[in-house]
Amino acid sequence: MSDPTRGKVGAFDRRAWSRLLLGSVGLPALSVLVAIVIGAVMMVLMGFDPRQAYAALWQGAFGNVIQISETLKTATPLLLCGLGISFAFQAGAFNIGAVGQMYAGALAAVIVGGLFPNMPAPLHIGLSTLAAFVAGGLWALAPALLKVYSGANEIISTILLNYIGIYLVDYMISGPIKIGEHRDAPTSWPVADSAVYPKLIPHTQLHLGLLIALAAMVVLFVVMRYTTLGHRVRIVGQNPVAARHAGIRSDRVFLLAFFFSGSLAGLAGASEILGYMTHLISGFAPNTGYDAIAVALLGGFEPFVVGLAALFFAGLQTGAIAMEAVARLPAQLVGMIRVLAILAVLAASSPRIVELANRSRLAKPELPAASPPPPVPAVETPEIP
Amino acid sequence: MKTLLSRAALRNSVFYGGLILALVVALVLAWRTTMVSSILAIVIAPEFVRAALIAATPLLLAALGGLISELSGVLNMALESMMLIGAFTAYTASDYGHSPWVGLIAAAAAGLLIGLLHAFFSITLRSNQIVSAVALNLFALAATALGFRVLYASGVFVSAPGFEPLHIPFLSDLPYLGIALFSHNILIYLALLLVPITWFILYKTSWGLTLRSVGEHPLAASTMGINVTRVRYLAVLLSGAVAGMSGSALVSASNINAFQENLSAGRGFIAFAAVIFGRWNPIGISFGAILFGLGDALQIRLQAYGVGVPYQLLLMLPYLITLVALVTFMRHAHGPAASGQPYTEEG
Repeated sequence: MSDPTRGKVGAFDRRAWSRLLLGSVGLPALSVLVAIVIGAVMMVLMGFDPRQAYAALWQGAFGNVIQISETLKTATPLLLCGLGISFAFQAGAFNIGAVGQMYAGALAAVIVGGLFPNMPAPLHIGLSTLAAFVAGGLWALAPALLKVYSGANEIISTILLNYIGIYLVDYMISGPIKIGEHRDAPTSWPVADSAVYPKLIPHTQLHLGLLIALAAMVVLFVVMRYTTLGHRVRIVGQNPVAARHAGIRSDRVFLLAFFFSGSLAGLAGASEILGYMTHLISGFAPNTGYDAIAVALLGGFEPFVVGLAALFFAGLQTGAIAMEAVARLPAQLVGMIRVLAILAVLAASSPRIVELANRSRLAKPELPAASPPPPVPAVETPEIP
Repeated sequence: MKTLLSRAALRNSVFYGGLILALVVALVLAWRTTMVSSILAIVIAPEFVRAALIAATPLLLAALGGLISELSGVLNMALESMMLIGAFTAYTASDYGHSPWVGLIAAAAAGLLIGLLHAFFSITLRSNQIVSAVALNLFALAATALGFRVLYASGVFVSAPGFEPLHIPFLSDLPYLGIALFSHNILIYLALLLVPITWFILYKTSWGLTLRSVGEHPLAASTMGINVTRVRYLAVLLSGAVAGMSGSALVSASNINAFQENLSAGRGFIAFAAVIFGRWNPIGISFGAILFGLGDALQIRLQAYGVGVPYQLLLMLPYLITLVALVTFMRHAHGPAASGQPYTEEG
């Protein structure tokens, strides 16, 4: 991983930055392109016109202000969860529990948001959001503690906690926090008006949550790149032995990273409930936490690239509805495009491929950028199995 | 690990059985103190044992698959995707092929393909094995959702031909055991038969020794002239085929032989935990799978009998039990030494 802050902290190194940009955006972009092409081939095989389908997809995702707001609204929880997963991954841990953490956050948000009906709005919004932040963090802290103190694999335990969280929400909304009036499906009480996020654009559903997510993205970027905490997290993630020798208490860093990872997912839950749903219902976000893993993978765990990946995923999701309506294609097809992009980026960033790419780059002589490229020497790079 | 059933695995099982009972009793006591007797009635019924075995079979097959891969040094968290793809393939193939056997073979083939992908990513490309598995799980979710939508667009509920319960002369007519043990479909007996077979192959044949040596110390194995890459590929492919069959068992486990989106619902991960629980020993693993199956069956029975505990909390039970088991047994568990590490001959 290239570190542009090496040497003077915060110094602006143009070459390092361009390398970072190319490396972290170029690869996912290429993978997305590959996925779109394979998707087109699949459409042709299924007897559809890919141009028409993609045009409908684009229209549905970014066609007008309402569609753009819908896409951004969908991107918000994906981005928050994706950032959380990225942060934990930088610390060397896989947090597959965004679903459960998001549910815990939503539960806390609807409880605090539904109580205290006469609170001033800014305070109530802040308090409900904070409750979700803490609840999501604690839901993630549990598997992290289990990992540190009993070695329980955090991947398994976070997944198990997803199901436990889902059923906990199901129980709560059909019992303790059930709505007063009759509903066909189990529904929680509503959040008070004072806790509902203000809308960013009138007559759309775009809400404050997007700004929270964008702020989290910037904060995470700054923390990872310019603070000692970020530095420690990276060292613990990349080389626990070196971290120990450097006097870093890896356990503490790991717990902290997991807590914030969960709290970001908790914010995603709050954003969905306080942003536009206002009630907690069964299965309110069954796949968001899993899709966010894909978002984080596609974004290479880099905050800004994760943002782009979230936008791409959200665009596919909102566009798919239009695609199905206009071009009569099954909406599930975009799910395939997404995973194909993930598999492509996984392959392209694998050690094997990176090694091969580096080897072929080293084989070429270093030249000033201005002069025309020389004919590539016809020396085959030795293939070492 | 030389004995058929290691002492640690036995201790796990005994402890674990008690744990489940304690947990359930505690849960029920918290709600209704008078329900203990009805719980007891549920647990001792032969139908309960029967349901537990049925619920355990998919877990057992997946866990055996996971074991093969993990002993060769490749973590297989893609079990969930193999199970899900296997279930979808088993369902569609037995529907179109008019036979559950077609479904079973197709499920094994589909699992094998996922195994091939997992092997390609984690052995050839040396990707992070967990990341590869996570990506494959997402792939399985998306692919089965699309396939189900395309093939069954009408939304009409179709029940595929499934494995029928066998009637074994004399044995099936035994008073208690007949229902509990001797009226299952053939797949369940095949799965149970696979336990000693897997144990024999892994621990008593030279191929098994080769496989385990690659998982413990690939460099040493390579020095002995073993092709590490080839052995690991074979192990992951075999793992995929066995885990794929678990999908077929999952479809047959519901009496209606139907598929729905995300049918596996995390069972692949429970199977992964069962491998750890059983300490990488086939017999221990089968105990783990059966005990997790007991948890699943209990949850369903308790719901049906209406013991007064909200059903959402009962649904948590299998996951909660797995979590407790994981925490209790992970501390001293250690798998193959080279597990999860990609191998390069460059060093």
